[in-house]
Amino acid sequence: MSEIDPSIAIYVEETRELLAELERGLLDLENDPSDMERVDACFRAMHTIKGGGAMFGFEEISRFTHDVETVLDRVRAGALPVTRELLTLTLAAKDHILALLEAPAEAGPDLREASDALLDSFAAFLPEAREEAAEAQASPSQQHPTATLDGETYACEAEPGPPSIYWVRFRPAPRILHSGNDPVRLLAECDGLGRARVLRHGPMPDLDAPDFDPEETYGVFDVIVRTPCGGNDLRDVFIFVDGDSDVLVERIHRGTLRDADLDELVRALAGLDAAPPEVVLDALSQALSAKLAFITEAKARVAEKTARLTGAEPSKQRQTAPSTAAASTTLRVDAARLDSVVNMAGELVILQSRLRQAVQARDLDAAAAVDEDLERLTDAMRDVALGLRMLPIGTVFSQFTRLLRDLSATLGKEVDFEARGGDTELDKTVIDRIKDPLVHILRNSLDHGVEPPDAREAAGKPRRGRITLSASHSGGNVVIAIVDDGRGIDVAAVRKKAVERGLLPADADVSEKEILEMIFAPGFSTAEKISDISGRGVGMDVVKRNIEALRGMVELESVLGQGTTVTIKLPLTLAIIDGFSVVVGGDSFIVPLVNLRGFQERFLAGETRTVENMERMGELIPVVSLRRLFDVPGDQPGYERVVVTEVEGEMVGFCVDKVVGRQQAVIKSLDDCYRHLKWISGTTINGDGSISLILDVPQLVRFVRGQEDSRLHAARASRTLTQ
Amino acid sequence: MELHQKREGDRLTLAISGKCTVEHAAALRAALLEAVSAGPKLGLDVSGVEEADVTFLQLLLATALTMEREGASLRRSGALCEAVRQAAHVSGFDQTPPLQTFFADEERDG
Repeated sequence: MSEIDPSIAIYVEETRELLAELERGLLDLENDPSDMERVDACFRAMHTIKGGGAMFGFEEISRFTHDVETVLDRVRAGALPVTRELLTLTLAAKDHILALLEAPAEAGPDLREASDALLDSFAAFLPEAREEAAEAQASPSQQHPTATLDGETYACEAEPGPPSIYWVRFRPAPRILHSGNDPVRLLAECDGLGRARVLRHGPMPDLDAPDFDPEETYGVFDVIVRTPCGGNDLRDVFIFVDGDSDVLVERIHRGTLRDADLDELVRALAGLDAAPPEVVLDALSQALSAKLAFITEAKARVAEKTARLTGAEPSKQRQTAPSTAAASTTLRVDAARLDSVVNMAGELVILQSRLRQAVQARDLDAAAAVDEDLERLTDAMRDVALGLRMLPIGTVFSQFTRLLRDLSATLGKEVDFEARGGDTELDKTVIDRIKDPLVHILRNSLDHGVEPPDAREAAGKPRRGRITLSASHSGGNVVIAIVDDGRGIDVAAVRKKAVERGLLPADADVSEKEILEMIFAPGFSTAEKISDISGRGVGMDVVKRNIEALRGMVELESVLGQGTTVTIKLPLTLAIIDGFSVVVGGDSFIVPLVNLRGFQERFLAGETRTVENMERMGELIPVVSLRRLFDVPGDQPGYERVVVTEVEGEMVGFCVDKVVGRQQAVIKSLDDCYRHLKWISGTTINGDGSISLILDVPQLVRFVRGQEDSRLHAARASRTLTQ
Repeated sequence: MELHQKREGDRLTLAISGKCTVEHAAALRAALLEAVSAGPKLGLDVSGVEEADVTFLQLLLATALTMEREGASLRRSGALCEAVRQAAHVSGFDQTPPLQTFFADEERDG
């Protein structure tokens, strides 16, 4: 039932967070192995992951985590030291748990094999367990029957079919101990047959009560057990006391329930210590029915929601699909921020009633006052609402620490990595999408920038290199800088390579900065050999394109022999853009301000084409007629305005009828059925309620480039033919 | 079973160690009665207990109930040893309201 429970998504999300915390903790421990608080925190994270894994049906996670947790527990108890080897192994375990968490369905044989391989390595830290296992293998004839459920092994033979839930009532005879039977031992045996929850209730005299006999047993033990075994196994536990003591074993449900559900069932028995069995069974039946009804309802809700999200029939859903969907759809938000949204919604209601009064009284002054207040409130509400999507960038920093730790070991380099400004907040989407470019830049810094220790020493530098990643706010942007103290970029080598690749004429007079920009050209790499780390053809051009897709920009500075600085500027959010509103016929469009370079005009006579050329500052630039491109109805005017934009150094003009002015556009993304539309990145609603389409300028520029290329090819082909 | 009393100001700690089973139940009750009558600030150190049966857990519960009646509460001093933790867990004594605090603060339950 775990896969139908909506709380599974929460478990997945929390486990991801716990794994990130675990990674941070392990990396901190590398710097300070004596930090026992960190060891405790790592242990707690592992323990929570294990517990949740068993509860929510991630059996392989629960099974795998058990030994890792035990090893951490031994570290906690001082029985094992924190070593680099152990940390590396635990980091690998963390990666593996993440892989198990994100596996689309039940863990496949590959993942199980990977689990076993890692567990073998952990066994070295579990000497006792290994000995026990060896002993068990040596004497298989002495093995007891076992059954497994949720990764736990129980001392009984499993019955065919699903596990069952039993109610066991055990009212020990007062002098049970005199016959050598201890209720605690019997209950422990019961516990060994399944997951048991026990309620001890009934009379218990005070310590000083004259009739209190400390050698007698008082009260009743009600046990709810989830077991793969049968009722007879449970009855056998009490076989030697049945008769003197009251023992009742009843199956109350065939099927499994979560640990939390068992807790609830056992709580339903409180105060029923003296009640006859039928009353208790009735209470259990009621509690169970309520629980099962809740589960059925939750199952239907999840199936319906998943079907809505994917457009598929509920019965055809992969049952563990919610876990992956949850990754991109859930977000943890500071409660204070939600409170302010609620407060503002309250104020909005008050303003609305003030507005109604003003309208009813036809009081224009009062309406104007409401308008002013509303403007203030809307501004504040917009800021707070956008803040809900903000996450500290530090959430991804620990991944980089890990990346550089592992890479430096692979490359045989020594490097100190420092991340600053982790509390700088950015839109969640931006954070998700900036991660890959940052990984690429950091890899480059370590692979190409930081020299091997000997080379550094020869150059008079400390053996250990240094890479700093910092994030800070600057105006409406977030600035991320990656600084290394490596060998820097050899401008002459870059120039040579650019000339070789035909990106630059041999005699071109260009500045150092422009040459450095060449690094962002597609396919450019000065790496002498391609390594696993970088130089694999996915170059800085992809980094630049990804950053520009976030409406950001990237710059490079380098001093030969001293190091390189890569600076990335990103907008705080993707939800609102500054744009320029333009009109073609009856349609209005938004050109993002970040791409805008200026305006020109052109006079037309006769037929126009979709893409033409126009002179701008002594150069010919392509211009696109939006009227023809989008088939806007109406007559072609003889005079047009041209909006000049720039993407990746290329200028392209867009011909429009009218330029309206600057507009802050709240982006409304296109519905799925419009996803195939090219050249439009979204829509926005104007002040008058009409809709503007936001132009996807980079896509349009690529389209123009494609048109120009095909025209060029056609021209070349025709020349060849005439020759 | 061994019993040691330690007094710090008005705080009394009774350290119980060894085998705490039915044959020692009467002696333990007597020691607990004496400790409870000594004042409301009683702590029990059960970290040295090697074996515990139902009588031991019942005595803990009876002590907690008696102290509750007097407006005090039973405090645990020192770590919870595995023998007591396991016995209390499988028999539900650790979830019995007067003893919940006594058995709390152990992060591992399985």
